[in-house]
Amino acid sequence: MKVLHRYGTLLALVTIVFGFVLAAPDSFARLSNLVNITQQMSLLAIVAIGATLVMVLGQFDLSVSAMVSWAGIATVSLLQSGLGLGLAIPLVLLSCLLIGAVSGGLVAVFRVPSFIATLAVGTMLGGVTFWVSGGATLFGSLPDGFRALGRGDTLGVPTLTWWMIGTAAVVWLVLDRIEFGRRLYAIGGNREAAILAGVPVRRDMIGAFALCAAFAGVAGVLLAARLGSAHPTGGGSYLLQAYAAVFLGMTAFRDGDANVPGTLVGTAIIAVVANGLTILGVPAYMQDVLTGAIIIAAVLVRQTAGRRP
Amino acid sequence: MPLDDDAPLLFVEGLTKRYGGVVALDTVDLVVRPGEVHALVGENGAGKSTLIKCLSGVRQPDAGRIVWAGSPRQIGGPRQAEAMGISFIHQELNLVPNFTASEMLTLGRRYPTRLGLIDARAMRERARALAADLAPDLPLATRTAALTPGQRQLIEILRALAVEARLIVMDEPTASLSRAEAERLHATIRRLSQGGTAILFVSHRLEEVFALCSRVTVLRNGRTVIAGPLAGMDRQTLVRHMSGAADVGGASPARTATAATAPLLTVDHLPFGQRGVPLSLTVAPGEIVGLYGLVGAGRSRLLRTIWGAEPARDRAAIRFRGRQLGRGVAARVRAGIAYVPEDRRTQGLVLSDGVMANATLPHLRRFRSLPRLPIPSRRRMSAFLGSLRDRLSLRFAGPDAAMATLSGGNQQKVLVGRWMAGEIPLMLLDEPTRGIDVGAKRQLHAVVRAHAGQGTGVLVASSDLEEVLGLADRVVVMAAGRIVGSYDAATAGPQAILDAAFAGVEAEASA
Repeated sequence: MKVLHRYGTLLALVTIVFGFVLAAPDSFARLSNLVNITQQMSLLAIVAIGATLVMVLGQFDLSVSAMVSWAGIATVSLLQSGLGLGLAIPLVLLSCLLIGAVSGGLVAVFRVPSFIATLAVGTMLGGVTFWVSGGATLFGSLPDGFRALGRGDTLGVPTLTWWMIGTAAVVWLVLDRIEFGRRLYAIGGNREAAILAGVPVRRDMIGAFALCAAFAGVAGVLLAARLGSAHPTGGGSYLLQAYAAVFLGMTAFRDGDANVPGTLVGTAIIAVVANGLTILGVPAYMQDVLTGAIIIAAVLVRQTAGRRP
Repeated sequence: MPLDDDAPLLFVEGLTKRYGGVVALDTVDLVVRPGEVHALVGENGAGKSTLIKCLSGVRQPDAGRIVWAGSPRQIGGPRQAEAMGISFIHQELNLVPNFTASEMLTLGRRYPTRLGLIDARAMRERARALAADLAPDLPLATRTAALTPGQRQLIEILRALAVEARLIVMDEPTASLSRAEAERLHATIRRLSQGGTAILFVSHRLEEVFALCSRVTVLRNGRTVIAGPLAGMDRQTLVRHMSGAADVGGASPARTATAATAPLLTVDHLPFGQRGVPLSLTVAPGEIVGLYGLVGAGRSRLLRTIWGAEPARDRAAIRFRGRQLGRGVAARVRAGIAYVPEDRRTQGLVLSDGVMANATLPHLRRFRSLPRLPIPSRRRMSAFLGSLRDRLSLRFAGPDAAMATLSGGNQQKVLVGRWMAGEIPLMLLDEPTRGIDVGAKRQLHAVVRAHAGQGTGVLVASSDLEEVLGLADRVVVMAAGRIVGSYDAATAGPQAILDAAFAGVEAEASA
């Protein structure tokens, strides 16, 4: 029971992978398919890892989907207007960072519940994105260097997979090895105690929201690079799936706290289920039903096991 | 029948309650007769609250029995206590902030209905009738969050009176009431008592204890010291029983006075408390100043203000080494000042985090391997934790063991020890040994004394009179946000200090 409690989510991933290997040994279990899964999960993973930073604080950022869409539209617009890659992408990411800081400021300084603050900011951002794009999909006349960011392989591994690995490594270091990350866990665990210990609570919270938004922005840029186009609601599906991944991850490894390895495992579960069921010919809506059921199962296992003394 | 009247309504015998290694109640006896107003008094931590919790069923006693109206009962919870006929006026109020006064007064009772829907008018009528005697001026349509503390207290009282109770336990019911409100409550109490309802009356205002009550039970250190009629007892005798002056004294070792040096901490005419009365206080290097007061005296608030966690009304009035400190907690941390909050679980620790994370939180920067990179070195952190383990005999399963798994004493040691990563010029301690076992307490006292011996100034607030007298060189007594006395700990007895604290509360009540 203790093993199930501690590594339940990881066990679930292994079980699911094993199940698909048995069910579809020729198509699912091929190395090329497994590599493909890492590419399919990469953008969701980047968004979810960003959301993990805010989740460590015990807060939500509901604007991540809008941020992905915004970053895509903004990047493509800037590139089409003739701006260079080296300027367009930093500008877009800076805008995401600032918008995230505004959300963080509302939460940390004015004590607006993060649910409401980020819902409002996300709604506004969605409107702005629509306005900038004219409601249409933007495509064409993009530099090759831009498209290469989201396509092809590097050293035999898909480029997008590298982006995911890089993001995971950076955020894991930030949360686990840097003073800032340790303070975030303290704030999330007991804000009052953090304040009384002299932690710069407001500054740190704003920083976490800003970083979360920036990573959603990175995902948006990469999504546009991969597709060669941007749609004003292109990031729509990421919000719920990212939090599903974070929640699954909270039941793994760090005993109830959001954490990067856990989020990666959570994302992998979602991606493996989607990939495997598609191969087996199960319709997409059933994948959603199953993903939801897995989340509930993971939380229930944790609750029941955790209740034992 | 007349014989029955003398039979006790409530008979508590040998009640004992331990929290971990701490004995909160130690074979307490209490007898309350029908229709009497019975005073329950004692200094902070004497066991009054625990006794009330056992009566309301919130806590279960470890030993002893409760006999109610002639039959032994086990009180499983507040609902059962209410069903038996005991109602409670609690000190900490349980109000729904966005309910109006009348909604609050009718909450939990059966709502009057019309055609199956709640009849709002009948509800207001009922609330008005309920408040008519005791609080005719209570604004029934106002949300409870917008009421004064006194008005909120009145709602709590009215809620308790709405139940047909045979015994009403009142825990400091008049602490936040105005004089007129308190007098109306006294009249209500007398009327209830004439009608046969018994009252167990807990108060720090000895004046009203003498005016209202016929008999008294005095608790000290979880024991019944004396129980009997109040008639013929005077205030001094009562205070002496509470303080245990007869068997304390001569406990504190003589210490050399260090007042000659320039003060380390100066609070100079800081407007403080509800009425903003200027407050002044100094702590010299090597001096331990005890801050004593009854509940609500403002000790914690004063420490929080000095610590920068609450805005001071005049920041220039607080000086450290003669200079004003910057805004906020971080400036104190940088100056090396240590602070231990009152409630270690809600204010001090991150219980979900590990022991090492907690021990290194305030001075994370000191564990960098390279001074310019914000990367704490795990090796340095665990070396520090190891040194704390040796110096404080701290016991824990491992550096990443969740803080929640440590005993209260060990948790408290982490809270004190986490400041010991460097020199500590000044310590601000709020109830540093509340609810921990004797061994840990002694150890923490030794740590504080050792630091003072090396020149650390200490300001320690405590509700434990023996702790204050045993630890401090000088005891400052607070009441209602003001300093009402300052005593040399070596010569002042516990009685003088307790007396000053009670006198301060009474002076405030009649102000």
